[in-house]
Amino acid sequence: MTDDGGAERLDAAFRLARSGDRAAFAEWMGMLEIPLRRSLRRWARAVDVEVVVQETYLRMWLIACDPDRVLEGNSASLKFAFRVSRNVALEEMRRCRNVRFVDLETLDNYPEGRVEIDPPDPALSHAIRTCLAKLPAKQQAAIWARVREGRQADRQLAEGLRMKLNTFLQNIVRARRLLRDCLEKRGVRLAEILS
Amino acid sequence: MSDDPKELLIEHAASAFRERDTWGRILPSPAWRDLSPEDRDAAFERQLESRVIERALHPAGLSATARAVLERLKAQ
Repeated sequence: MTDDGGAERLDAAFRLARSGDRAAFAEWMGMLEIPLRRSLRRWARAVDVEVVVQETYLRMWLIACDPDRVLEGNSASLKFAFRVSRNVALEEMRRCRNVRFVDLETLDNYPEGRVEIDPPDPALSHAIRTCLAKLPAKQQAAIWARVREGRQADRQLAEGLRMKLNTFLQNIVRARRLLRDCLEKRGVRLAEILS
Repeated sequence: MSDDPKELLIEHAASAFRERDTWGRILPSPAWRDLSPEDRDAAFERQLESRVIERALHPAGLSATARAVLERLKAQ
C-alpha cells in the first residue's frame, strides 16, 4: 500500500538528487526514513537496524549519482531502497553470524508492509517542544544534546555536558519517560505513531 | 541515580552514532551486541522513537541518521 502523493514527492526528490543535489537527497532521506525503518522491524533481533539504514542511504546516493542506473515506474526509489535495505540486512546478518535469530524462509515470505510517507507534523513538533521545556534541567540538556548532535558519540556529548556517560544515559532514559507521559496527557501517543 | 543497566544499554544503542572500521564499513553499536534478542526488539523501538522525535524537531525534518549520512557524503 502506498500514498501516491507522497510517493510522487519522494521520486521527484530522488530525480533531483540524481543531478548531485544533496539537499534533494536529504529531503528524500527525510521522507523515506520512518517507513524504511518500520519495514526493517522483523530484522531487529539479527542486525543493528541503524547500520542498515545508514548503509542503505549511502548505497542509494551512489545509485543516484550513477548516470547508467535508471529507476523507472511508480515509487521506484522507494521500492529500490526497500530492496537495497533487505540486501544490506542479509549481508549484515551473515557478517555478524546472527542467522540463528531469524528464519530466512519466513523473512522471504514476509509482506512488504506499510510504505506511506509521513510528512513532518507541526503539531507533534509543538507538543514535543512544550513537553521538553518542562523537563528538569539536566534531563533537558541531555536529551537536547542527543536530538541536536545525535550523530556524535554519546561519550563526546556527555563530556560536553560535564556528565559521566552513565549519568548522561540515565538522564535521557528518565527524560524519555517524562516526555512520553507529558505527550500522552496532551493526547499524543508515541506508540501509535511508531506502529 | 540508578536505572536498570539494560535500559542504559538500550538507550546507548538508540544513538545514531556508529563507529567505522578501517575500510569505512559502518559497525553495529557495541551496546546493541550486548543485548538479548528481546532487548534488541526494544532497542529497535527506541531507535524508531528517537528518529521520530529528532525529525519532528529539525527544521528540515532530518533525523540524526540522515544528518550523519549527509556529513559522510560531504567528507567524500
